[in-house]
Amino acid sequence: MDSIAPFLRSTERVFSTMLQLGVDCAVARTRLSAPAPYPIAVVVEPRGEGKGVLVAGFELAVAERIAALFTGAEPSGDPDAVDDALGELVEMIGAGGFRDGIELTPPAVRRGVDAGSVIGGASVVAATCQTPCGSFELLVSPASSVDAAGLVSEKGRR
Amino acid sequence: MKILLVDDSKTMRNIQKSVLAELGFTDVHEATDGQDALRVLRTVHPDLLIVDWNMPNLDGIGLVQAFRRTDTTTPIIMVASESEKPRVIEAIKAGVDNYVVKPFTPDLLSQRIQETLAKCAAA
Repeated sequence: MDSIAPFLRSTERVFSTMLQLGVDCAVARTRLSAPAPYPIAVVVEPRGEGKGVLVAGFELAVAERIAALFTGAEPSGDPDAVDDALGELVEMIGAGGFRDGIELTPPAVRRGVDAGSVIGGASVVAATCQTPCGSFELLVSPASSVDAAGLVSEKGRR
Repeated sequence: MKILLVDDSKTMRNIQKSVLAELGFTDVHEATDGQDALRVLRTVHPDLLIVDWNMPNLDGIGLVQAFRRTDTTTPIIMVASESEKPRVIEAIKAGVDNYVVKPFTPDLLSQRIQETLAKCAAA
């Protein structure tokens, strides 16, 4: 459970600073089975030899509300804008959560992918984060690698 | 005052543009990564660069190193999620004049921009 604690602290910091939004993260739990698919999953992992994967899973409406708040625009349903905003937020969460000195990959945003398969079937520590925009889920697998699952490609953000 | 924003996230570029607009800076150019920035710099000669660290193709450190080979005076602010001291030192050694850790408030970014411009004007 300790593995997710820095990510939860980081989430609270990122949301309060960038969105002026409180986050209440529920007690983390270990999941042995794959979670249900998320309409949007954002994946961040260390570069090179670093281990671990962070996945943030969002329902579409929640993702759009959070992205709109971050961008300061009305929810537009533009998937590129939503992916870009969520990718940036989750990258910041990952930077605060992974251990010091780890360099991260640019975030990868996947739509309609089973987040459990992204992590490669390894057990994960999960927490539900409640915000006024709705809830989302954070999953951390300290020892797995996204590359092993072969599912994630770098998101092209422009 | 001409400013070049380099960030692969359009969201972050828009946030930074809003802060710059509040400060009265509207001549803002954009690049989506380090390579794109080097292309833009062939025709645009900015008075300030604001550069993300973690980008595809060519990251912020690579861009700063390349830029500093030919320009040692134009101020550069790095805006990055990396907050560890060795990383900040690495950025400063590469030629960064100021450093903003994400997440940041608009007020903090605004303050750092003004600090950097004042320091470089006084130098």
